[in-house]
Amino acid sequence: MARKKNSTFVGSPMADVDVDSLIYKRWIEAAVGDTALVQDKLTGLNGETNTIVHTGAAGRGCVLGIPLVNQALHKKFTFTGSGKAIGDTRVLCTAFFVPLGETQISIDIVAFSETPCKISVYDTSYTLIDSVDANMASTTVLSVTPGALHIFEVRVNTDDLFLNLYATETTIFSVCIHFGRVGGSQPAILPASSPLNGQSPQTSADAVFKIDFDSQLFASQMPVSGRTATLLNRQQNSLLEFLTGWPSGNAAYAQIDSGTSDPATSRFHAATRAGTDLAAEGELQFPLLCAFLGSAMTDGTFAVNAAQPPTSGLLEFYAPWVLTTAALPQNAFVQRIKMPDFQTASSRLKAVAIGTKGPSWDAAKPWQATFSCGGAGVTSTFTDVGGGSNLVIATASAIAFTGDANANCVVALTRAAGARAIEEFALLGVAFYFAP
Amino acid sequence: MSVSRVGTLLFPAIAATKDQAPCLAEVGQALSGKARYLYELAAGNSAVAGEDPVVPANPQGLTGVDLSGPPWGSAILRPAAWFGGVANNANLQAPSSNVLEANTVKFTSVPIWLFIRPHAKLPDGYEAPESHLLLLLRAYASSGTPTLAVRLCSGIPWGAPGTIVSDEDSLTLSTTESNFTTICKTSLNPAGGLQQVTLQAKVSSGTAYVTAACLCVATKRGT
Repeated sequence: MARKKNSTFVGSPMADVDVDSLIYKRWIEAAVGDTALVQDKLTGLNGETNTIVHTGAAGRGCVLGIPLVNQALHKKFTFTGSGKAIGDTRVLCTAFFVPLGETQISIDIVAFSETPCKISVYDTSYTLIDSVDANMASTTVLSVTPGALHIFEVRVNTDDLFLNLYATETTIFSVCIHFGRVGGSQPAILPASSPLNGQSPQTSADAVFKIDFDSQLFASQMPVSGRTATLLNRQQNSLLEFLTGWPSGNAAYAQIDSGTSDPATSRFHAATRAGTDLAAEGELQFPLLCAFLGSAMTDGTFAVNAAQPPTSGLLEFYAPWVLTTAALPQNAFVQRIKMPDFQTASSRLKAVAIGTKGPSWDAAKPWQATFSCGGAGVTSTFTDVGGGSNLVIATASAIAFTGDANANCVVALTRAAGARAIEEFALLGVAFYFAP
Repeated sequence: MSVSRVGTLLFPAIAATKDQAPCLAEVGQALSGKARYLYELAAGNSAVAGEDPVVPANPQGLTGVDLSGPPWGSAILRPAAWFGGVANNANLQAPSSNVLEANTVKFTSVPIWLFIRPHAKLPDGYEAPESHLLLLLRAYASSGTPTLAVRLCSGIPWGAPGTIVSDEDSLTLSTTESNFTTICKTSLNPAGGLQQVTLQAKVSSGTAYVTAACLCVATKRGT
């Protein structure tokens, strides 16, 4: 059998299918081939490699626009006490992954402050990509590199220290980093009652009503078949509901997942790779969680004096470190979140952590981060970012997780045994993301 | 808009596509047009080079399904906004990890600003997944096993300031930090953009500490 499928969309001219037009077999051949193309792009069946992965590239699906950061802080950024030398300060710093298809980010900092600052994004070698001079309470836009890890920082200018950050109160309430698209239409693209002539999948495990039409059906002299039309109609309705997630109103075709938690079968386009015929479904680059944990100075020293506990400096928002007397490892970050229902057999969950490399950093005994998300952790060693940044970064991949479940995202810190000094390392930010 | 290839979202009646049914042009129009509609929703661009898409713009103003909830695709379960996260760990030198300290006198409030992805407003009777974010918490009590009342309030501009729009939940705490899944949901403007919700909590005795809070997309297609 030679399966009918168009390699690119063909469609039919208006005149071919207008009222009172002659009946052409070519319209149904084109429709069958186009529908097969859509089915394969959504499922990855029949060796289709240009699956729908939502990168924004032609034929690969609309970008998702998932925000990178939506974090409430409610922290005062005021230097207090004496004993901590002031200087350029990274009041906010983290690393995050920007999905393919996105070329700029919007930064909204909700703050009580007019403190001037420099907001910048760098690559992981600390080469500047873009920066802007702004006020702490601001909305700004920066260019980014699609499909790459970035280092993000908000730095306070030394010249403004006494005039603003250190002399008056600065409070940051929330930080939102996103892609800035709002205000599109809110149309109902589907009728409240779903399509007529719906058709349940062939078996309970099928995601879509999958039909393969033989090219011979459309050979010269072959008749236009009512059966072809009826099966094509069912296939299109099935794909429409699979794609849009809009199953209501059609009792004969109420697609539901196989369970309310961690379903083995997803009947909808959701990159789950769960269920029959979806093993090759496209997977998504997907930001999950990104957090700012504290501040540090740009020279690598901490934002507070080197004491446990500290008594001066940015006491409300300094980057945390493990007590020099504590056993290792120790949890430094814990956030409870909902995990996506992505496939877990070959986990695409990755993580990154960034820290300040203090003056006591021991290159022979570098700090390590263990990233976990409800399952076994993955440990990675912090390495020097370079570029005069005084930053270190650790990345991990294939982190185990359970789909469609609540989980604690945890970052634990450890280091080789031996005496430890205070200003070795402090954790500035972490991020978890999916990247196949 | 110039369209050389038909694109429609017509649904032919069952009888029109049965064997022995007369072959009507409208069947061809529906099946051909729906193929283009499907292609553009999936691919995210016009099916025909040089032509505008036949599908309407999605809530982001772009073309195609963007998985922002029906009818623009099944929503992806995920954290949508978070508060705190520095571990509550005595072996960690850090500022206070508490994001909220609840007392017995009145509800303690903390506002949270978050960027909401634009999404479709569903018909009455349905809750859009990205409009109704579920609250997850980590919390503990200073002593005993008090009850923590938590709720979410809508903010400006979607609801009147201070309007309580969420379900209130009661959690039984202990002195050990624990995970909680509440029934509290937000009510957000589907137009998207920067919006505000307020987390409130009050405890029956002593002091309660919330060390991490997260608003999550907890359903794929709404309820």
